[in-house]
Amino acid sequence: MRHPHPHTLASLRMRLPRSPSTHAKRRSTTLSHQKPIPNPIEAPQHPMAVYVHWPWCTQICTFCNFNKYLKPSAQESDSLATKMKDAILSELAMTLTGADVADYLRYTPKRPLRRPSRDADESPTPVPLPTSTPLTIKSVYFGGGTPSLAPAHIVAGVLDLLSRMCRIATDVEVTVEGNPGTFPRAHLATLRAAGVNRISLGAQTFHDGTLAMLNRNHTVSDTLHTAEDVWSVFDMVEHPRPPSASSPRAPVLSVDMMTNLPRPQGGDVPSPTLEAELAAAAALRPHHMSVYELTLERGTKLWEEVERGTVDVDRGEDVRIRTWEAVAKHLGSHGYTRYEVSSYAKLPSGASLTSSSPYECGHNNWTWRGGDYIGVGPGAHGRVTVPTERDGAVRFRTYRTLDPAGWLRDVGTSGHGTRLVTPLSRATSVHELIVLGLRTSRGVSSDDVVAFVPTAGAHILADHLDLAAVRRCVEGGLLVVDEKDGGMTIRCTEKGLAVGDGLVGEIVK
Amino acid sequence: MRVLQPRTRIPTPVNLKSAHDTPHFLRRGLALRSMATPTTRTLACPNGPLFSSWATKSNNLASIGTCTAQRWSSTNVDGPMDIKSVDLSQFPPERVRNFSIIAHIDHGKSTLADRLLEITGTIPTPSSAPGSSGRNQQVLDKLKVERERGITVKAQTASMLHKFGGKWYLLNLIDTPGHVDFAYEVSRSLAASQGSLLLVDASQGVQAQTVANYHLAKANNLTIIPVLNKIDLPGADPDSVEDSVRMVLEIAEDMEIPRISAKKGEGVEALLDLIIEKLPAPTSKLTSSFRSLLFDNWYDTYVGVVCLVAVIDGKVGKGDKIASAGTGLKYEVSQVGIMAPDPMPLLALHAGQVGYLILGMKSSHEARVGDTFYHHGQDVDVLPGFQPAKSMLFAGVYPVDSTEFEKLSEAINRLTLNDSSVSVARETSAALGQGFRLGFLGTLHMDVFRQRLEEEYGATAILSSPVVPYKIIRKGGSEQIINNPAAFPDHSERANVDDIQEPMVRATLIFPEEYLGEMMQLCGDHRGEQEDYTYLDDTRIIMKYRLPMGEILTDFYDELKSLSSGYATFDYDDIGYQSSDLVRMNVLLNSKPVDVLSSVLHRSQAERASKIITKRLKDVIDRQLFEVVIQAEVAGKIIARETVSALRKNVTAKCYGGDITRKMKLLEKQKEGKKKMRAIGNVKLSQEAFLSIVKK
Repeated sequence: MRHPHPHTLASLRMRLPRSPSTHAKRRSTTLSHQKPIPNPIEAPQHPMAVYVHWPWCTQICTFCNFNKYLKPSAQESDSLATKMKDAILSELAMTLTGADVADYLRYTPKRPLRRPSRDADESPTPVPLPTSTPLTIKSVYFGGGTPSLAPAHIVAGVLDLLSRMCRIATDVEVTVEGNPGTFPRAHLATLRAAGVNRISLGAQTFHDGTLAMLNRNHTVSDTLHTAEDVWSVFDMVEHPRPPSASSPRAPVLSVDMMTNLPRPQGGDVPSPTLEAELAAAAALRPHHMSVYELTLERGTKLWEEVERGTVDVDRGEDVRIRTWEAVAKHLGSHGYTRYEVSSYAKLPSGASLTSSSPYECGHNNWTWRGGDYIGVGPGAHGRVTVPTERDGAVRFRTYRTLDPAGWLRDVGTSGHGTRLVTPLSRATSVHELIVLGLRTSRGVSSDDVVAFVPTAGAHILADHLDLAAVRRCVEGGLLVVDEKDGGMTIRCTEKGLAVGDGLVGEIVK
Repeated sequence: MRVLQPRTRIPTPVNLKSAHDTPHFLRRGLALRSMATPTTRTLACPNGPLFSSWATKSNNLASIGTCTAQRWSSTNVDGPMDIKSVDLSQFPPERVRNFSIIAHIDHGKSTLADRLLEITGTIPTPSSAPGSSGRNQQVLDKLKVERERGITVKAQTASMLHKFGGKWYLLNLIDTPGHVDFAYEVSRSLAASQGSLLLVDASQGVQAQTVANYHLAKANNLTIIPVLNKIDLPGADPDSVEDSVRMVLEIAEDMEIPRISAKKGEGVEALLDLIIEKLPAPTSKLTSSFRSLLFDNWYDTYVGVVCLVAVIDGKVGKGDKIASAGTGLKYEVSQVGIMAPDPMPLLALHAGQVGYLILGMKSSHEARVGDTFYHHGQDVDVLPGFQPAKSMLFAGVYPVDSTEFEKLSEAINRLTLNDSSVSVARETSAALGQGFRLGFLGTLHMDVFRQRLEEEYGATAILSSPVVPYKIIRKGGSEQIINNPAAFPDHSERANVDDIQEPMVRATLIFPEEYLGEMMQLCGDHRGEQEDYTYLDDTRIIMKYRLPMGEILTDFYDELKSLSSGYATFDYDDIGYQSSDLVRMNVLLNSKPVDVLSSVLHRSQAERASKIITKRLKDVIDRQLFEVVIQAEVAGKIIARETVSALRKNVTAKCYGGDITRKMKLLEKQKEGKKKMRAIGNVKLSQEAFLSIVKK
């Protein structure tokens, strides 16, 4: 990890409406005689993931419905980068103390929630307490947009701030996403020096005609070169040592692919088969792959094209299930195992396809399992467990202002761009863990529920399930249930994974 | 909730004197005026309020005595008379005619009734009615459903006065339902009359219903006057229609068939004379002990049950203590009167007359149609009663939302207060929850009931597809009537069954000759056996078929109309039971039978019906996590099968940040959707889909 830039935090403190530390002092005096409230964030080992959203792209892909915007012209770029950096760091600093949530719920005039009331029956919004204890950062993920376009000093600045305000786990996973062609070697080197140890490369397809049709800003050759550069700059090896809590993570490469894409008519190069696409992806020797079925999203250019009939996409269920099954089969032959609906990780040589891989995405696994994560940047979502005055620990979902200009303005006025904070009921929290867990091969367990949902006991998972429906799914070969020591784990079989959306609707009470 | 007042008519303006004679429950506007000026009312005529809710019975009785005695004793039979101020003791049986009008639908029965009432001055003619705009229209059809459908559902009476040969006569028109479903009500009305006008449209000629009603009237020993109506219509062909009337109805050569236009009033006055001349007077004895036939009743929110009676012998007056032969219950007559056509209270009803009694009954179930009332303590011969109304078809009725059972139950209770011909029994369905099995007189009766249920109570109920009552004769000879397919003996129980019978009808079809082929095909497709066909006139055929009643319940009538471009008419008589090779078809979803989808069919139809229902189910069942197997089973064998394949790919590819919120919203939507689904075993059906299948 690189040394932090000394000016960052000082400038931030001046900007913040209330210094987190003063805030904390004030609270501690009033609380000294009260019953101590369990506070997972203040617990020394409270782990946290951080997501940073970089909303800019040089081109807009026709299928993309993420929160993304065309990058401004070169001359505006520098000032924008500075503004973005200041704002990201400001928001992150406030968020690490829980001050953004507290500030939002107590003081933000635009807040839609009721003012806290003394009447218990009205179940007022819980009032968060400020915290000052550093968190343990397990992972940092720069997503977008095209975060590879973000100047490396922003990535470095975030990591620097985190290292000043929190404990950084020794095996922290730091991912930067990006498109081929936006990772010059020098940039990669700076990122590596800043502490990045995972590059996620959006290859999508190995067919130039298709890339052009989807308005991607790169070619197949860019993909090959960038992957090569990543390998050499990061000194990657095919089978790095698995992560362990006591040593830094070995750098890894992830490649994103898409299936069920529309293909251009005619052209010089025929579009490759799925098998060839996946073989080409595997040839980049990634440690991890995400293979997404194309989702046609309303409001995208591709949606309009398909609606107009100018582009043809086969959305038939037969094709989709065959493709999905074929992806697992082909990648299996290249040594990858599926651990989530669209996620695959390389197995150590000789490991069976059913074992788990050490190269799964730590950040995603953490959020899918139910862990807390902070979302920073325009439109970023977060989920944090915060101690509150009356209700003890409460989970909140946080939403930032969506459009970059509005977000920058909000951060300018209040130090953070929080647009909405909603407390998650225990039921919602449990449901969320079920929905997310059943997309993964590890499933959802009562241990996870107890660990991540405040005040939940081991029985809570079963309480939220329609057990008759669960039994039917088990009998029908869609679910597997393990029960032991009063707890349970349920997970989808491959067949169940393919119908997970319908399945959770069926089994959640 | 809107108050149900089935007999309420649009108030026709009346003079103030008669307003006091009008019960407030039908003349609320006038009654309120009277209430507001009690002094004036008392001075003018102390008998003012008539129904008990706003006057004590004893006061009322005393005042009626003085007021009416004074007024009515001076009535001069030879001078002008007003039905609103009549003394009925002036009309011995020989000066009374009780008659009904029977006709095919739309042949002008209600219009003729309106004209008779106008010409006799019972209701004002439109021109003489102050503030009245337009004609009297269907004065006697008071139910909304009656006016809308142009049918009469309940019996109704109207009394009027007519002078003939220098003497005043009291004519009681007993209006009858025109549709065959209500044959039971028709025969009740016919029992109270001695003669009938058989009305035939001079342009449309004899129709199936004309024939059926004619035979019904004949069977009741009524004297019948055929009447050709609508002679003013450009298409009228009275000569040819008269020929076919004489032929089909076997009318004697010397009998005159009057020709009228009820709409224009042409010939109606002469018809009144003819009624007095040709129809017999009741053979009642004024001097014998009082007894009367209860032939209809209805429930009024204010006064309770109103009984329509024909006084056979003696007289009955207000305050009399009378008893029911049927129930043994005793009553004091709180009001007696005639319908003119609104209830008009009087001192007494006399032998041969038709009117109403209010006895303080709280439920129409106390009023058994066909019952004999007599003076308590007197020894009289009980009149032959009617058989209870026989349900010809049954349907399950369930609330759409099963939590609304109580609401439905209340609605059905209130409707049956007024229509005791609907039989009601509770039943429970595994698929639909708690409900009722209702028995109806016919499909129109069922439709009318459903419409009244919806209109008058806003109850949203599903009526399952109707079935006829089947007769099961078990080994050893015991008989059982089954009115629910779920209770029909399955093949496993068949060993204990000797015979299975279904109710049959004799259908009369009348249609232009060019449709003969289609009509025979239609009846053949519905397992009919031809009994007879003959030319009714130059172009039309009258055809008789034996048909299983179950075959004419649902689509038969619609098919008949569409195959004949609307020209064919159809009517039927119940002709008892006949052995039949009937089977129960069960519908199974993933091997679990769905009780409400069971049906009873003739074996020859099972294969086709099984294909239809399995296909329809396949079309409405959404794909789910597991395969859904739809099967139709007869006699232990699966005879049709469809499958709805399981979902195979139903999972979104991405799940990051905002996707989580999206997924949670999807879950909420799924949970909402789940509440609207009906689960049958492990199969889920949307409410609408399921209902669409059950109803058919």
